[in-house]
Amino acid sequence: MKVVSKLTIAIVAGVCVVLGVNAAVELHILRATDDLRVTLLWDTAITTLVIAITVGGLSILFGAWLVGRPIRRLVEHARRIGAGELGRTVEVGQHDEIGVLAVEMNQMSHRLAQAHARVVEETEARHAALAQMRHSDRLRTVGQLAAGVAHELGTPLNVVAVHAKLIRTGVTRGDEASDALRIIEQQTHRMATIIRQLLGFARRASPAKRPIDLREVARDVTSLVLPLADRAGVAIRCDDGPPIIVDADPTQLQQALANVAVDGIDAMAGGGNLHVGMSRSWQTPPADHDGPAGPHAAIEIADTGVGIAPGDLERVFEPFFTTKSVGDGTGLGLSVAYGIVREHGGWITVASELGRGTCFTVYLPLAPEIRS
Amino acid sequence: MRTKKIPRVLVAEDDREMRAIVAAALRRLGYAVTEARDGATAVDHIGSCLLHNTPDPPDVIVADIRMPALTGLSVLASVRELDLPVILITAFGDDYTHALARRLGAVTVFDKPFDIDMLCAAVELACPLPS
Repeated sequence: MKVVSKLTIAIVAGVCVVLGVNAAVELHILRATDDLRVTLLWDTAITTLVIAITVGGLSILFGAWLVGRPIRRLVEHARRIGAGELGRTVEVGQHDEIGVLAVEMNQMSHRLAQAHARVVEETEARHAALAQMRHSDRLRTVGQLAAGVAHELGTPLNVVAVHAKLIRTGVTRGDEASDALRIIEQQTHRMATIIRQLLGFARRASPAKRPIDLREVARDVTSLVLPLADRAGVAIRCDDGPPIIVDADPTQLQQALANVAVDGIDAMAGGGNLHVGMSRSWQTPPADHDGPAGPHAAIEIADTGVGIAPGDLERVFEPFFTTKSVGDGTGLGLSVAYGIVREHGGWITVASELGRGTCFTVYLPLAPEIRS
Repeated sequence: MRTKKIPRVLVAEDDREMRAIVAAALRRLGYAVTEARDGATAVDHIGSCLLHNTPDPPDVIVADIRMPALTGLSVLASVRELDLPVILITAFGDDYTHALARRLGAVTVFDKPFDIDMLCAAVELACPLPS
């Protein structure tokens, strides 16, 4: 039965009781004397009032019990759903509108629980896929490292082995043998350098960050690579401007920027210009980067060298990837720079045009206290 | 009487020391040797021999696989039609490189570090010296 019908019956019953009592009393009054009539009239009025109040109160209590109790349970249920307790059901034991509402709420709670489970499952699957991707990425890097080590060490080892054999078998003698020994010595130095660089690549200490002015780092880097630039006939121009403060390890950042600058100078064997510029801007990190969007410092290192072929562009940060001749570069410089910048919460982009030059841009988050 | 021609080996290798020891070993055996510092120089040399019909084109090629400009595999692919034996040397001695080299027609592939006598033996097998 509907709630409205139940309430109507309760009220109608109350009114009937009042009217019935009132009619009986009035009949009694008609038969009484005049004196008594006044007294009885008052009594009747008071009695009717008392009965009306009692019946009214009882009706209100009954209504409250009938409607309030299940509503409170529904409210409590809604609160629990809101707090994330999904999949629970509520029983109101009624078959009226409140009962229907409870059934609907139970269904909604059930559907929300299903949707939530689906979201959790999908998120877990996505995380697993990401972890798998990172793992394959690491494997690929290890493979590249192994291939690079094999190539870099294979050739000098071969040179050493052949010269040693030639000396042992007496094919190389006298002055030739001493030349061969000199070559063996050079080749072992070359291998030692490669191993040292490799260890530097693998065992990089975590950065000791402190707020530093990028302009100072840029000035240090330019003075560091100046002798190299002079030999190659490269002019260096470093922009000056307002201070740009970042949280960074100055030594590591200097190494990263120097590696990029050296690569630029190496690309200009016939001379050219190396431009180091700095700016501040709002940046959204690339998709494979965890950092938030925010104000960043950008250091541009642009050369007017030979440029990088489009096919090689995405490989420049791979360890041991090099287009230089054997012995000129191990192919670790840019990947070391990339690693350092990543550890500082930044990233590097590269744009290049064959025959025109290359521009590397290093992005680093601005130091928090300076952001405002 | 017509003298027997001394076979010529073209050695393409970007590492100077490596190139020098391979060339020296082959010269000691009695081969004439032309040295190329990368793949592009090697292919240029072969092209120029064909174009000018020079009297001493290479009879065998020994090439490193990883070289700037043109790799040893590209050199191999470029001379495929010429029926020139090509011996490759590589530090990337993985199965894929070996299979690719064989499919392109390489005589053999040596993994660095290799025994120089084995390389010389392979050259002698591909193009014997006149007795």
